[in-house]
Amino acid sequence: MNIAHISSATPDKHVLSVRGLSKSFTLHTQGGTTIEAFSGLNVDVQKGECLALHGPSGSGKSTFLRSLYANYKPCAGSIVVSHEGLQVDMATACPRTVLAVRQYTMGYVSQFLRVIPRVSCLDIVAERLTAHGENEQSAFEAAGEMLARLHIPERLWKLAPATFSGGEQQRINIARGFIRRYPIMLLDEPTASLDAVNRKTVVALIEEAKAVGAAIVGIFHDEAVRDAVADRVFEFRPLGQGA
Amino acid sequence: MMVAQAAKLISSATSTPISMEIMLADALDAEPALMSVRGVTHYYGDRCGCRSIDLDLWPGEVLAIVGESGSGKSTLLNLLAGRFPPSAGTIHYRDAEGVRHNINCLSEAVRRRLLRTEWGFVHQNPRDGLRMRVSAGGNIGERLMACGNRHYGKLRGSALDWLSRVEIAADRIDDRPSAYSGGMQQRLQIARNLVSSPRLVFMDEPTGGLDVSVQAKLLDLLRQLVRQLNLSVLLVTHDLVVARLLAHRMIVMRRGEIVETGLSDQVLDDPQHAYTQLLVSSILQG
Amino acid sequence: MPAPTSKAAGQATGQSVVSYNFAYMDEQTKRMIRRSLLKAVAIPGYQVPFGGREMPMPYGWGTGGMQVSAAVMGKEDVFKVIDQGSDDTTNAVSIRAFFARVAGIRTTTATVEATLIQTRHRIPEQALREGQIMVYQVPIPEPLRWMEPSEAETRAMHALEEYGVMHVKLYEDIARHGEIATSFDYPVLVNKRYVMSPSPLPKFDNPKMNQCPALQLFGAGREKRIYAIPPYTTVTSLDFEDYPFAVQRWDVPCALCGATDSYLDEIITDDTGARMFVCSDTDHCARHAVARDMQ
Repeated sequence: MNIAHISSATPDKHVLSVRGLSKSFTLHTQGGTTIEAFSGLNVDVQKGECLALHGPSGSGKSTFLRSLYANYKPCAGSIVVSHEGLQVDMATACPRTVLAVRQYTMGYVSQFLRVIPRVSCLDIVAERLTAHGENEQSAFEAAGEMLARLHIPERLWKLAPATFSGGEQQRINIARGFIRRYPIMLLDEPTASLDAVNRKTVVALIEEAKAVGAAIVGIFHDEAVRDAVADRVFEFRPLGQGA
Repeated sequence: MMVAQAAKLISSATSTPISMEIMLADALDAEPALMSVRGVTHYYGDRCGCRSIDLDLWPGEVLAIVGESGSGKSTLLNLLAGRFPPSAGTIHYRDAEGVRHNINCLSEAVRRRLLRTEWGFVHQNPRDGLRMRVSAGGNIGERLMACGNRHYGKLRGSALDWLSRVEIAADRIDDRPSAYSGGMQQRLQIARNLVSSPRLVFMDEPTGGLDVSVQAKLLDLLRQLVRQLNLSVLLVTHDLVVARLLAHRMIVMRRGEIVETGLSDQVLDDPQHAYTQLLVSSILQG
Repeated sequence: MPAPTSKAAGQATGQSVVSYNFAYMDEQTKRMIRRSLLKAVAIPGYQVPFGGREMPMPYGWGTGGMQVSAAVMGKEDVFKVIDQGSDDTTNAVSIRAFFARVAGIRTTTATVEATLIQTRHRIPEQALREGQIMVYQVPIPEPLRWMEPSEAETRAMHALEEYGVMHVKLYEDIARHGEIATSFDYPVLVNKRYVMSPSPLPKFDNPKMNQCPALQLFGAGREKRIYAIPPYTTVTSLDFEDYPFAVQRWDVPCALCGATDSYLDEIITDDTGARMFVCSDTDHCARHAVARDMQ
C-alpha cells in the first residue's frame, strides 16, 4: 500500500488527501461474512477542483464518500483534511473533532433526506445557518432564496418534507447542503431524481462553489452533469474483478 | 501555531496514520470536559448493574446511552446523576465556576444544589418529575423559588415565557398537569427543568411514553432547546431513531458494559460490534 | 370529671388525686419531655421528636399541648386554657379542670394573671410578657407536609434549608385567588433558619409571635413532635416581594365590646342569616367591654 507523503512544500494545495483507504464490512449477524468495499485507495483533491467518482453500482463509490465524511469507519488508511488551518485525519479523529470538521469544513449531500418529522423545510435549510450563529431573520431569507432557486414553491416552505416527492426532498437536501459554503463538499448523486431545469441549477451551484475554492467530490450518474462539473474522474472497479 | 505545524508533520515511515487529532484535540479541548467518568461499576448485590464504564461529556454535547432494557443504561444514568454511589469508579463534574466535584463525595447539600441549579432530570413518566397537585406555573416556578426568587410577578413572567417556549398556551398556566395530555406533561416537565438554565440535563427515555406524532414534536423542541441553551445532555433511550436525531455521540450498552461508542450516525450506519449490528438491524424501517 | 370553675379549683384539689403524680405524668416522662423542650428551645423552630404518651383523651383534643403543659407546670403556676380564643368551650374547661385536679394548681381566664397558657387556635390579644409560657396544641407540625409526603425527605429539606416549595404553596394561592388566601397555619421562618407551622393559628396572630417576650412551646401529640420559639426571637411570615404578608382586617368593630384591633369571629344569630362579628378572645372582649362601660 502506498502511504501518504504530504508535500510540505505545498501544504495548502490539497485540501483532501486519501491514502491507502480500505473499507470492508463484517456482518456479525450473518455468520461473520466480510464484504470488502474497496482497498488501498489514494486520492487527492485540491481547492476549486471537482472530482467525480465513477464506476458501476456496487463498486464502493457511496461507501467511499461516506467514509470521507466519517459516516463509515475505514478499516485502514487515512483521510487528511485541511480544517481551520490544521490537518485532521477523519479516519482516526475523535468524534468531537469529526463534528467540528463537519460543522465548518465538510458538507455532505446525501441521496436521502433524513430529518426530524414535522419540521418545516424552511427551518431545515435555515438551521444550517442559525447553527453557526447567524440570526434567524437573515437565515430564513437566505433559506427562502435557496429554496426558490431550486423551484420549491413558497407554499411548501412551511411544510415538513416527509410527504414531498422524491425530487422535492432531494432539492431540499441540496438547498441544505449548499446554503453554507463548505471548503469541501461531498455529493452523493445530487441530481438523481431531478428534472432538467433543476439539474441545471445544481450544476450552477456546484460551479459557484468551485469558483470560491470549494473542493468537491461527487457521484454523478447523469453523464451531462458529470461532464459539466467534473475536472477529473476517479474510476471505481468492482473488487475482485481486477485483483 | 506550534500545534498546526506539529500536526502537519506526518511520518511516512509508519503504515498506520498518525493520530493528528490528538494534537488538534488539544487545541479544541481548551474547554475541559463537563463530566468525566472512569471505571464506574455498580453491583446490586451479586448482580452487575454496570461495569467499568469510562466516558466524557463535553459542554453542549448530547450523548445518548442506548441498549435494550436491562442493559444497565438507567443504572448508569442514575449513578451519573449521583442518585446513588457506584460500587467502584469515579464521576467528576465541573461546575459553572470551574470547580471539579467528585459526584460520589458530594455533600447532600451540594448535590441537591446542583440538582436544582446546574442539573435537570427529565423522567420518562412526567408524573415522576412534576408536582401533579400544583399548577403548571407553580411547577415551572419551583426551581426559581428554590433559588431564592421571591417576586410573584417575575415568577409568573418566567412561567409564561417557558410555557410559550415549550408550546403550551398561556391560558393553561393555572391548570394542574393532571389536566394536560401526556405530551404536554412531558413538555411541562422539560420547562420545569430548564427554567433555571441548567448546564447538564439527564433524560431517561423522554419520549418513551408518547404517541409517535407527539414524539416528533418533542424531539424537535428538545433539539432546538439544546442548541439555544448550549445544553449538555445525557440521554437514555432504547429508541435508536431518537438517539440519531438528538445525539452527537452514542454509547451502546449490553449487560452492563459498553460494547460500542462513537458518532451517532457512524455507530448506526456502520456498527462494528455484533450486538450493535443486531440492534440496528432490528429497527423497523418506516 | 367535674368541671370546677377557676375560683373553685383550689378547693377541688385538696381531697382528690392521691393516686396521681403531680400533673398526671410520672417524673421520668416529664424529664424526657423537658429534655426535648430544652433542645427545641436551643434550636428555635426545629421539630424535636419525643416519646409522646397516651393521655386520658383522644388525639386531636390537645394531647400534645397537655404533655408539654404537664412537663413545665410548677405548683405556683396559674393556668389558662383557650380554645378558639374562648375560655369556656368544653375542651378549654375540661383541660383546665384536669390540671386543677391532678396538679392542684390555680387556674384563671385572665391572660394577665396566667403564667402558663395552653392554647388552640389563638394567641391572646393582651400582649404577653416575660415569664409567661404559651403552649400550643399542634395537629400537624410539619409545614412541608402539604408538598412532600415523605418524612425522610422533609427532614432533609429542613436540614438543608430547602424551602422553595413553601413558596410554591403561596404561589398557588395567588394564582388561584389573586392573593395569599392561606389564613390559618400560615408558615413562618423562625430565627431566619427553620420554616415552622404555627399550628392552626389565624395569620392575624403571626406578628404576635415575632419578638414575643413569652416562651412559646408547641406540642404535637399524635405526631410526637415538640418545637419552640424562645423569647425575643425573630419570626417572619413567608411572602412575596410584590405580595407582602398582611393580616386580616374587619370593616366593623366587635359587636359586644367595640374593639377594632382584635380578631373577630362571625356568628350567625338566627335562621335568616343575620350575623354579628365579635371578639374571638373572650377574656379580651369582657375586659374591653368593662373598660368601655366605665368611661
